[in-house]
Amino acid sequence: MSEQETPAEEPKSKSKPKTKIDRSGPPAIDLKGVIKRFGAVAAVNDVTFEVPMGSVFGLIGPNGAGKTTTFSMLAGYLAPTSGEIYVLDRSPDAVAELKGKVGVLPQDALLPANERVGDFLVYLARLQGMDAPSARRGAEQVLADVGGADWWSTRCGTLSHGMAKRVGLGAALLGEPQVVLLDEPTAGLDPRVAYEVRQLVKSRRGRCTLVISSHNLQELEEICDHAAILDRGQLITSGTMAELTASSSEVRFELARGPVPEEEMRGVEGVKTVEWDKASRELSVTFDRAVCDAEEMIRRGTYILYQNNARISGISKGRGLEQRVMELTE
Amino acid sequence: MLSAREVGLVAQREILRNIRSTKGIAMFVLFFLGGLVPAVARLMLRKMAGDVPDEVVRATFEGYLSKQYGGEAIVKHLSSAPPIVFFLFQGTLMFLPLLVLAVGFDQIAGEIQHRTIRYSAGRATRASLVAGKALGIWGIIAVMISVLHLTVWVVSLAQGGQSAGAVLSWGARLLVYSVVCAGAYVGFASLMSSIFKTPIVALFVGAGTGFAIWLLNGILGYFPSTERITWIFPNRYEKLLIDPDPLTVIAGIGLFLLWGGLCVTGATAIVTRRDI
Repeated sequence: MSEQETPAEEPKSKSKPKTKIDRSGPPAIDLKGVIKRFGAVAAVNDVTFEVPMGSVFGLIGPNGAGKTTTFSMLAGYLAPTSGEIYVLDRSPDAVAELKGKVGVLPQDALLPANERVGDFLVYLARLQGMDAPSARRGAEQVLADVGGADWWSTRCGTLSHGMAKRVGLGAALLGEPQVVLLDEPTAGLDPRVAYEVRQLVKSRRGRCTLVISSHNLQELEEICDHAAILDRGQLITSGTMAELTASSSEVRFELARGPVPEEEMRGVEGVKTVEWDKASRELSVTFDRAVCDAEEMIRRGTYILYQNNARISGISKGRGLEQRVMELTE
Repeated sequence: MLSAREVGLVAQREILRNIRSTKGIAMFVLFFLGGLVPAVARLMLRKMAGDVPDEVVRATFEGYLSKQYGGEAIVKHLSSAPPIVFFLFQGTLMFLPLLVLAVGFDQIAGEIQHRTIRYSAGRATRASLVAGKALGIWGIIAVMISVLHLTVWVVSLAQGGQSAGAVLSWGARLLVYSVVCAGAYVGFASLMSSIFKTPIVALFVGAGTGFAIWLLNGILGYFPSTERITWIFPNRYEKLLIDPDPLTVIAGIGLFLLWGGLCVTGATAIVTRRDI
């Protein structure tokens, strides 16, 4: 069972109620023919995709793909040159209607250097409509969630990059928003903090719709169940993570010590190439998708391996998100 | 769209942010020390020229008012004001545009430059953010002007020679007028701060524009044929505030607030349309 098929983990924070997500309703976010030009340059060109309600959605692409521009338009920071964007069925600049329902972690926005973390979070919470006691409770809760309970009285200007990022993440999660937009949530963080942030994001699965823009494809493959791949301002493809990765014509069999029926595998109908990597003990099989799909190839492959007494340690389909993105964005 | 709640929260934060900042503390100290300057000057004058009889002081003051404002009615009206309080008012108006700009030049530009505005942009309308910031800066300036004026009142009363009633009644009136004038310049600072992404550019262009306004007001006001044009400048309304006719004073207050309000509206339009 792949990661994206794994049932959502229980949220770590037990004090917050789990919001029931209605996946049958309209999409949480809807982009239709969106174009954003900066002068003569189209940073985003005719992009159309939907973010299903309750999904964890990845915005993927190399530098200059238009991820951050798209993200900024979703957050209402940038106005599209043309096209339509709807967040929870509203235009992103409908602040009065969307406040408290959308939380955003901007990538490169600095926290106010002279303000104390707690004061700033309370201010933001109050600004999004919470009363003073709820704002304080909410700020304390999100700060605890991001592992920063001790930073309440710390001035924002003295926070390290990782701490500031987590405070920003806390601000995005204030008040249990229905949609949370995270731009590069783990960029520049050390592996341990990045892991903690990933766990925190995972804990929000099922409680809200999450849109994550990131360069880290392994991270996105681990966290997201849907994604859109952008390149040079255009949408290359979008869909569920399973669709994106399994649509490649490859199945990998990891084998324990024992026979490796490489030649027998080549004889299977639909198989195009078979490669054996001694170091990783991985048998990679590419096949003609017109002949069979990945599931059928797994069935045929395991049958051959079984017949030849090979000992299977693991099976994975597709090349993984990283390989898929490399193929699509060349 | 403006929300009173959002405007109030933003203004409150702006006031606290300024009070707690090094710039804010330095400004308060400067305003307090500024309040001591007239008292020190008075002491030095006394030391150099000895005690000048009240009649001479009054005649000199009236002569100054006559030269400055001409009309008999206005001279008669103002001559009852303690000279030190009146000159404090004039000095306040002279330095007010620059002081307001120094406090408020980075209110919007600073947040746009560092993109800090992104944290609040989804939680309050941009109109509320601009209006709240302007209101907060106005509040801070009002407190600073009050510190300056109150210091002068206290020292002036302690030194004697002034009627407490005159100091307090004229002082309170001129303090309110100063705060009203500040409203226009706060609007101007908001406009400058919304046009530029770099605070220092907003400061220098704002100072340059302010100087140009002052210069043009002087030049155009000198010639009867162009005098009417000066109504577009806020400096033009200062004279209305010290008029003996209460309706003219109210008109002056209204024009200052209108000028400031138009500038804040302009700033709102710019911030609402711009990519942040």
